[in-house]
Amino acid sequence: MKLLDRWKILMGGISLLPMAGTALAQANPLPLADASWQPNEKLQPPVFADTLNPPDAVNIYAAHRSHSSHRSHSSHSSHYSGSGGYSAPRYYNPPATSTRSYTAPSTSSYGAGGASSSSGGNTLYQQSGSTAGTGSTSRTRPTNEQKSNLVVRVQTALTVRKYYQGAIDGLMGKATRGALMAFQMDSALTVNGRMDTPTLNALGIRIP
Amino acid sequence: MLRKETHFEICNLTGPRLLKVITVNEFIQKGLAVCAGEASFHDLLLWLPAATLQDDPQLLSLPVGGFLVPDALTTPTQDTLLVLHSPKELDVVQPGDVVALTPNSTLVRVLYRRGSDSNLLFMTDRCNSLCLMCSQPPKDIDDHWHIEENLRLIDLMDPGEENLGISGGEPTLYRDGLLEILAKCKTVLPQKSLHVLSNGRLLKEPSWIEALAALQHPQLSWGIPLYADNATEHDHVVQAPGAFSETIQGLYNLARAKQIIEVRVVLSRLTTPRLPELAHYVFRNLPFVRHVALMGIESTGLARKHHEALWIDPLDYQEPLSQAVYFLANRGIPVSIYNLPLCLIPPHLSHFARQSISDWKNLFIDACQQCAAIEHCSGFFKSHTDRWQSRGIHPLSIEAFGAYARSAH
Amino acid sequence: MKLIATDSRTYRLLPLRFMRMNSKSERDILLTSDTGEYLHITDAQLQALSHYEVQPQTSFYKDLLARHFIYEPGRHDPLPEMAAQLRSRKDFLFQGPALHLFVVTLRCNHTCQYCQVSRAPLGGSAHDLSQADAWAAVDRLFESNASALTVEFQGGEPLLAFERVRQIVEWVTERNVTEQRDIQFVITTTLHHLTDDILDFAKQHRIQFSTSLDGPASLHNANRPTPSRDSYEKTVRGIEWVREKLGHDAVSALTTLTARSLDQPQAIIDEYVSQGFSSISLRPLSPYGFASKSAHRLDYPIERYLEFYKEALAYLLEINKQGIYLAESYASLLLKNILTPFSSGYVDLRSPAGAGTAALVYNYDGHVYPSDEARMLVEMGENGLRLGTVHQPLRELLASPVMEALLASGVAEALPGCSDCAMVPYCGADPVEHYARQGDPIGHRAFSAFCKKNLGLLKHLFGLLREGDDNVQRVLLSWLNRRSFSDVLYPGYRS
Repeated sequence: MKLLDRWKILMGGISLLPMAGTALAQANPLPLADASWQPNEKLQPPVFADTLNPPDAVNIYAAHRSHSSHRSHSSHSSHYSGSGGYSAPRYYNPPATSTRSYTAPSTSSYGAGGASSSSGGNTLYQQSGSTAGTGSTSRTRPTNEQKSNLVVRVQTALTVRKYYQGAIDGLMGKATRGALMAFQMDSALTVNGRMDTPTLNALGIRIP
Repeated sequence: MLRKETHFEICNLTGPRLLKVITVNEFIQKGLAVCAGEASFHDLLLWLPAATLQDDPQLLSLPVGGFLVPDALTTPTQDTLLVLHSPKELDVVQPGDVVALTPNSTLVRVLYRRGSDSNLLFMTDRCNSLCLMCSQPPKDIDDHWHIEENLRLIDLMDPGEENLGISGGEPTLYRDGLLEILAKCKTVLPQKSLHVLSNGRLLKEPSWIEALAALQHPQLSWGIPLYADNATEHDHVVQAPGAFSETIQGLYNLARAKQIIEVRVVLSRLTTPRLPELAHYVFRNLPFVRHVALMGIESTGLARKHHEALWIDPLDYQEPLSQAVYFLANRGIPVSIYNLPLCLIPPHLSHFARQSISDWKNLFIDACQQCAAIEHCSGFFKSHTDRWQSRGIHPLSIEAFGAYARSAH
Repeated sequence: MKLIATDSRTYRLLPLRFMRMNSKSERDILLTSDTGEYLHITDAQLQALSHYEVQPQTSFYKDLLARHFIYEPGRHDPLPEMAAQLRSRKDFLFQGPALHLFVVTLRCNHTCQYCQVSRAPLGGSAHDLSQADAWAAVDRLFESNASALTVEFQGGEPLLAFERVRQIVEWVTERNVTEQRDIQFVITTTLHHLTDDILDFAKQHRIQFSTSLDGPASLHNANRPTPSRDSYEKTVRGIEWVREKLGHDAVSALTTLTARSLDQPQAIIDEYVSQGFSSISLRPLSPYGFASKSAHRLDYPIERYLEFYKEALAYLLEINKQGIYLAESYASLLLKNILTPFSSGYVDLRSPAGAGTAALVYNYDGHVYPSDEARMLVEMGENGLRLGTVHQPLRELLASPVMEALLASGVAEALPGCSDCAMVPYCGADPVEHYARQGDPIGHRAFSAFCKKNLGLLKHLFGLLREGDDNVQRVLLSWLNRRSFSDVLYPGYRS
């Protein structure tokens, strides 16, 4: 009698999970169960990976701080009004492109700081104007606001180097241009009154 | 130990402000690139020492949000300019920090400190547990304004690499706000590694799995406390029935969402007797945790009230501590000991000890001044008192400290 | 009369098993749960547990709760953790067969008395794997969904058909460019037919070698005769040559223990130490092939093997304590099963049995078998375990009635004798061995050499884990986590 027949007799013809064998031969894993059973995919028991000799057995927390407590106790909360601030969830959507989008400067532009400019309403913290690029490597043409910001930095640099004594206002006027050219001359740069890269480098201004 | 707030003379503050402190040179060099996210000049507080101001008074015409003079103010300024001067303590606010100002108050809070390894985003004072040793007792108030503040703070931080904590109270109480903050951190602060402290109880809700899995933050980890291998003891420590079950479910959901998880245990009279058994439980049921932190107790907040139930001299739990640590280490689960002075840790455990108390919270006592290990020791919490002092505190001689160094790997 | 049908109990029982260890300790009962967690308890504690008399505030109660022997109705529900542990332990089920043996030829230059396969003459290719069959086998290999695959070349002596080996390695490597599995090649060989060519090829494809080293020269040559009577010398030379070209760890060795071997545990171990191996496999003789025909000369009762093993293990522990790392591989496997919730990589001790589910053998004649032992039964005239031919798709092979029969008798948790054995979480099922020895795939546990071996070893290891001193623990842990003895500074908590 063939082996298989003998085995079947011995085992009384027990049959187990009918699909057990096939599941193992698929290139894509199949569930090992009857078609009508629906497991809760979201809540499968986690499978434990072996910890005994993992490839990267390094204590990533060796330099970590405990963060064991919170900041010091201070009665700061009473300083903020209950109104304003967070109401409905605003999901943060990263910009669609990798560059920051620059909008036109708002009308409440660079007055001296401190006075409340435009809306005090919804936001706790007053940010006048909207965006101004930070850390972006945009190669699009700079907006007026960006250019103005750059002029401010140039004026500041020229001020501390004693080339410029005027108001730091972001406007490339005669005085500013004159100071720039004087600096370029003293620094053996091309004297063109423009904020070109060698000039900016010499002033210690990094772009962006 | 550096405080997180101090007082200034403040002129012309008309509303609450969050400002980035920046020197003139850094302003020239980087401009708004000093901030990680969206910012304008009005978010800047120009650091202007009195001498510089005297030299170049037209710097006051800079279209920034305000000026900070870390000295007495000798030059008069315009009525409309926001000026901070004459700080009570000099080192508290420094260039690169982000400070919060409130009208009608001279208090200046440092919400972000450049170069600190313990910056954190504070989510809320509320909590759904009431741990016996809670170092920041919860308040039942509506303080979701923290979310907005944190979203703004993220934009003003330095962009570089550092550890950033997210904590409270219980951060998951403001679920949408937390998720928004995590998403924003991923975009604006991709170089920072985030560590969220949470009791994990609300994470038992399955909807968290998808939300967290979708985040895909490259360096996000969760620190979840577990105080016993059984519900009765754990629930007693956190004073919340059902907490153990919820936390375990939360841990499993974090595992399903493929999060990096750290289990934390505060060492007290209630948790040290079964510490080895807890290690066994973690290994058998939670081997996916990437780290176990065993932490000396901080004697502040509610802990003070429960001194009798909680206090145990660390010298008296060296044995269970050693057993638990080696049990886990031998099975490939990284372990660290936090917040215990080195003189209280036996040499063979010293290479698991980390200098872990935040720079603004730690101090050393008189006995420490002669200690050879002072550079490597986490010291004490500033809240430390005699009642919580081990009989074993003593300075280590150079030879004794050598024994520690030799047993390190 | 004791009232048991009452709701005043604080706890209920979870599925558990227990066994008396017959040790000298008071805590003589081993309690194991479905998850594989365990606890040593006293008789009195077992009574209390069964009669619902364990007091909630005691550490015994908390241990029972934490290790899933009891639960508290209405309080914490432990089923998710138990499910996770069980699922992890059986995770190997979700992988298709991971070990694929290619029997490239039956030719061999040895005449080992315990050989499990026939030895065809050295010349002639009648007993070689044909190219068409080899090609088809590679297709079968990639039909498995396992992400990590081991391709092992067997024989006879595979190096006598090296061209076929080369072909298969090249085909597999080429296909893997798109498949992107993690593939490991192994050649089991006497190392007597090495050439520079072969070694260069092996180096290029990172092929590992596995050889037989039965012990010192006298023992090895007595067990494994060759016409030139220098099997040992040639094997050692082969080991050196492989290490020279491919690195120290490119070759591993295992023993086969004949009755003669059982007299020399220390000599065998000393031989492995002097050959610089880091692992040794002390496996007993199998009842297949020539071994069964020469049983009266070679075989031995399993009790004798256990005696030998305990002595060998004690000697190994001593050596390891002195800083020489030599792990016994079966003990390491059992330790992993006892001490961790992780899935075992070893196909020969699994439940459901690994035959077919974890391993497949493509025989020289183009037939496919579920395990090496099954193929050896063929050489005894029994071809009933053939799954099919290598030209049938894998899903058909695994759906064959043979597989059904193997699985029906291959789930230890469902077998008489195993289903209520405390060791079942750490053990496995072997229908092929039981069929070979007892003529019945399920087998009678009382007469089962497989059971005696595993039970004997498991009990011994549990004894060592509980009674052994700190250094013994450190050695055993070093085998578990594959670190050096000195890196395991302290044993830590001993559960």
